[in-house]
Amino acid sequence: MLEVGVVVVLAVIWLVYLRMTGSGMRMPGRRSATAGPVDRERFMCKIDRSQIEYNGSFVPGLVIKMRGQLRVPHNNCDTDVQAIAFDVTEGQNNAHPVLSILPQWQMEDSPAFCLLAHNGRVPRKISVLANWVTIGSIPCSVLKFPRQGQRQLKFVISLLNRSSEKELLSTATTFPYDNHEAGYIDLRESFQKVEGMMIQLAVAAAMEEQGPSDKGLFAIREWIEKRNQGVSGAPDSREKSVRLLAALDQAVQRAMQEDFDAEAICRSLAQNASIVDRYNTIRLVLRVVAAEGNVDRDQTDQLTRVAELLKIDRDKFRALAQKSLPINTHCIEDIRFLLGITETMPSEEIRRRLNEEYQKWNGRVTHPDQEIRTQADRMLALIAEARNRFVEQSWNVPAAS
Amino acid sequence: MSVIAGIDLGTTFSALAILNSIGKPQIVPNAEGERITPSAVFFDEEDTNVIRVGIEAINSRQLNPERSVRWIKRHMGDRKFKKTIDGKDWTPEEISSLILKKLKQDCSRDEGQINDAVISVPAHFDEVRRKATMDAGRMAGLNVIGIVNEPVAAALHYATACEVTGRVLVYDLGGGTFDVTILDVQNKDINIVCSQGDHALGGIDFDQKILEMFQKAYREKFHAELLVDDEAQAKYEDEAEDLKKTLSRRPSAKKMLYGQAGSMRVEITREQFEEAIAPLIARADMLVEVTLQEAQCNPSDINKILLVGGSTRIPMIHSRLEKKFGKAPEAAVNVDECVALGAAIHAGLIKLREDPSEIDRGVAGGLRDVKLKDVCNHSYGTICAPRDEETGQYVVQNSIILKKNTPLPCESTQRFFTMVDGQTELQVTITQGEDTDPDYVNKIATEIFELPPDRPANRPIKVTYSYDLNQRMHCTFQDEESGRVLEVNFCVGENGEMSEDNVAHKATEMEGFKVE
Repeated sequence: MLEVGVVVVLAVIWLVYLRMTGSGMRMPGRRSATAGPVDRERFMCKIDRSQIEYNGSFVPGLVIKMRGQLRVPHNNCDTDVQAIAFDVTEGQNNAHPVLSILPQWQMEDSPAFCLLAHNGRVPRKISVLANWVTIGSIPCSVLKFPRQGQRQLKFVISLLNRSSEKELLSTATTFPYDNHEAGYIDLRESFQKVEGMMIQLAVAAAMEEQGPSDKGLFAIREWIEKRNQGVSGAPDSREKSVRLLAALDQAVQRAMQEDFDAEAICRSLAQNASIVDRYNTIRLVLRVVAAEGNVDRDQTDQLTRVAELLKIDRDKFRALAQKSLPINTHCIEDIRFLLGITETMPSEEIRRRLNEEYQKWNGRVTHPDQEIRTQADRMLALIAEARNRFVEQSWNVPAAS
Repeated sequence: MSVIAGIDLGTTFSALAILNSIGKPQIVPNAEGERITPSAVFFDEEDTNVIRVGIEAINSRQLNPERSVRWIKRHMGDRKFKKTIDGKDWTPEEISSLILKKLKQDCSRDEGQINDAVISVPAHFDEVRRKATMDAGRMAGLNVIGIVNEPVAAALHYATACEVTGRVLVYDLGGGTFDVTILDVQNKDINIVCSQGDHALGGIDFDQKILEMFQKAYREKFHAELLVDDEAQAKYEDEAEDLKKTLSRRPSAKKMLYGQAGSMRVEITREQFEEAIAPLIARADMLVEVTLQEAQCNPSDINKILLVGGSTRIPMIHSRLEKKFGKAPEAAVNVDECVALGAAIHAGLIKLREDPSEIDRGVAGGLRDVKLKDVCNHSYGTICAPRDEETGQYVVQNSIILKKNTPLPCESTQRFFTMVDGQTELQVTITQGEDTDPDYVNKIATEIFELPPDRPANRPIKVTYSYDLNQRMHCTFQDEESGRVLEVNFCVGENGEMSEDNVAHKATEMEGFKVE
């Protein structure tokens, strides 16, 4: 009895000590409201879901707790406590880490979730935490899970020797969690799917009667190379390159099939791709078309349609197209495509648009680059022709705004 | 007494004016007795020591077009343009200096040595072209004290010669360039509101349309080409110009076309000509509209339309402007001479401001009440990387700091921020141009601004551009936290390829060429 009594007293003293030395992440004084019978032989952990205070407001969070017997190498052993988490929905052998978006809850060399806190000195070689003690509270919004939906999460809590960093004890718990957001694997897969569709659309733009043109394919390969440069040297760099080149091969096969539907790809991209990737898509397609060195009316019509389906801002598309496909690459100087005007536009709208284009290109006729000067000269001639053709001869200027 | 001159170095014609003893500008006729001189140069193959400038060059051109140069102004500042004569590569500046030398030489015969001169340029000329024009003047042995925009010069003369009050639109359609300028005039107090220009629109473009009509007519009749060689090209360019002038006076004009396949008579009506030049006129219309928008005014706000430049003689231009503005445009001053006359006044104003002791009392008295408030000719900015509102991505952009048409002197400040942690240097680029896309603006200077180490991103950098009355630009980049400053100064004539030493050397070289 004496021995048990001493242990209980020591545990209480140690808990008081913990409260005094607890780290910022710990919530001293919080105990589980329903402390059950203590299994003194076991070191245990649990996760509670509750509203936690974070950055001045209460948000949904996970509260990580531990209790039970602590065995340490010697009395007054200074310890740390560490929590890491996995998604084990697809089985223990196919576990994926839970990630944190904040560096303070990340591992040193990866974004995987890791909470590391000073636990204080354990007074005796064998001590017991009689009640649940909070290790840390993590806002749910900080954590990123591999997939969306019902997940099974496993938290592993370890007690570490602070001086040697050796693990002294470890325990784990699993619990269900409903993740409402797209998971990082979902996003990666979606991103890869988007990349595949981008390549598919680019191949469609490079298609000639017998298949994609060599210049077009070269432009796509260049794009793949450049896209991979950002992560050059990273472990997935080669993998990514291989994947994208495989996607290119598939895209070529697919584009040869009769039921190939480029518009469906555009719609899917509009739905699934980020706005950045939609712009990247139209840039890639323009690059592929530009690789041929000339562009005909059918192609400009298709490009306009692709931009519409991708929900690209018209003015931005025109600026991109004017830059990628300068006027000298056009077999027919298509006023609609090059200047963004149509016969059905009101005369006043055409006048306004042409004046804007005139001002833009007139500023470029003195550019140091001869190519830009030549392009500007031709654009100005085209703008003047369009004005002469479409704008009423009455020549009344609208009131200044 | 010092001779102060203003020179209109035009695409097709040039003129020189000086200030008389009471500060009034007057045209000095050339040695041939003409008040304007064709901007044409002919390198005589029989006497290689003599270079012919003016009407003689025009007359010789058809005989040997390879040794002649016209419309050199369109190439001003173009570092790649060269005219090779007898093994020497002539630059646009050198060729222009020959024209200026002829004007200076002819003036000196009657009026004495020119001390100081202002040369006019189209309002839209960029810094490189302005610098090239100044260099040409210096190579001709002139002390170029300034550059003036052609429509500003025209307005200066107009305002001092006529009683004007109100808002004036100067429609300056010359041989090779076109400028529209809006200004407010109160007696001799002139405030420029804004100016816009088209670098490649002028009389020679109208001539080209007539030339195309000649070719078409000849092709239709003989199924053969009219312009088979440079001689034919030169001959019919001159014929086209002649016919254009005739069409400004008569409803139709005739020419004989002598080609290798036969000869024919061609008649071109004014209506046909107007149809052919309609796209060019549409371009001119757009420039007027853009200028009105820039000035935030309606056609009804314009009290007077002042015509400048020989191409404004085309009747269609009169009628369109009258229709547009509801009033007839005025050509009260001589359209071919007013720029040179105004440039002389501008030269006087500069001397009066910078060196009043050197100016004759009578001249000073004549200019005393003239006040000119000019505007910044171009937009100046820097390259930065703001976030795109739509995509959220950083986009490299040209951000305009000093906007075109801001009244001089002017100053503008913007704040930018460093982009990454530990950023120790900033590449600062000074740009000229309106575009937001950096690929389309002229990068006139790039410097490295060193910053203190070990600082997080988003440190403020204050960028201030100022532009003074002497067309000097001053740029300051200040790191607000450390107080470090990078200063960059410009003036017309400092950012071109040719250094002051080179210009002096060229001027000595040009002294060896005799012009007639």
